[in-house]
Amino acid sequence: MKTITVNRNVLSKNDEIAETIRADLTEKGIRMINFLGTPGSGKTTVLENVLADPAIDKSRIAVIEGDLFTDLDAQRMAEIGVRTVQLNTEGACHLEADMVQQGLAELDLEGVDTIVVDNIGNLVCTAAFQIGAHMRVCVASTTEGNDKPLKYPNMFRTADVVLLNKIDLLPYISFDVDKFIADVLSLNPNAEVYLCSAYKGEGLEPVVQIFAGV
Amino acid sequence: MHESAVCREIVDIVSHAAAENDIEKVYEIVVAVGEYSCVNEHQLNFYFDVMNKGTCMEQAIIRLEKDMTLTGPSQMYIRTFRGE
Ligand SMILES: Nc1nc2c(ncn2[C@@H]2O[C@H](COP(=O)(O)OP(=O)(O)O)[C@@H](O)[C@H]2O)c(=O)[nH]1
Ligand SMILES: [Mg+2]
Repeated sequence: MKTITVNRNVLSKNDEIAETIRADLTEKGIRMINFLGTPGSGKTTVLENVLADPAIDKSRIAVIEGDLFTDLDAQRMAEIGVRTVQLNTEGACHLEADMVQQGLAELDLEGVDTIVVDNIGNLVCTAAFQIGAHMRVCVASTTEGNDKPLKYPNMFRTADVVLLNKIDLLPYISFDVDKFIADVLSLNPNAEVYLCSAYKGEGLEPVVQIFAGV
Repeated sequence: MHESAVCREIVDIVSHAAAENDIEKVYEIVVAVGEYSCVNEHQLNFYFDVMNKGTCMEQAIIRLEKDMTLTGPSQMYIRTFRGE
């Protein structure tokens, strides 16, 4: 009987592909942003509103849409005139680096300096899989309840920016904004937290700045 | 929720390492997991029982060991495996 020492990250193959993607994009002067959150938190609505802002040059942006099925979100992006490619995982609950690599191969990146990956709606698995992005933006929403950071710590620990969306609904529900922010910061003191209503187009300036400023 | 992907990688990594070390039968695989690896042991074993068929791991068990030093996105490491 022999004992073999391996000491290898279980997701190392995925992480190596992610590292290759990141290095490749960095060399080309392209930044990739991983958009994460629950289904329906407003990821695609935030993107629609931000990309429609006059401060954004849409020809510099490309979007990779991830969903289990359909190209509905890619259609929404195409409608506002942004290059997009749809990835369908057909059941898988997260995007993996090799899928993103395929998506990137399908995109014409001429003149693009920012790529947004509109990830599968999921607070668990998407946090564990690196896809080669330079930044993680988590879109949370008031209708999910303010306890989600503590319940899904990995998502909030690994996010660079946390958007609390749907603040227009605060008068109708019970949601403790201060508690939400305090919980996010207790998990991740470096996180930038912003409140917005994508529906009303309010509070999106920080995201516009992230997209506009390279 | 991503146990099938995790299991696929464990089978892949251990298959290669076993072949490199002339091991034909693996009995135990020790995997270190962080506090928030979000991997459910029961589900992992369920997938493992399916995916280890026809491999050197057919009789193996996966032993999960908590390792609080593992933080960040990747919180699962294959530490060792035992076989002959
Ligand atoms: N009230 C309100 N509804 C919103 C807001 N943002 C998005 N929604 C709605 O939430 C639903 C899901 O939005 P969507 O962007 O498709 O979510 P995704 O699954 O995260 O991409 C849609 O019906 C949106 O109109 C918001 O700020 N306020
Ligand atoms: Mg969407």
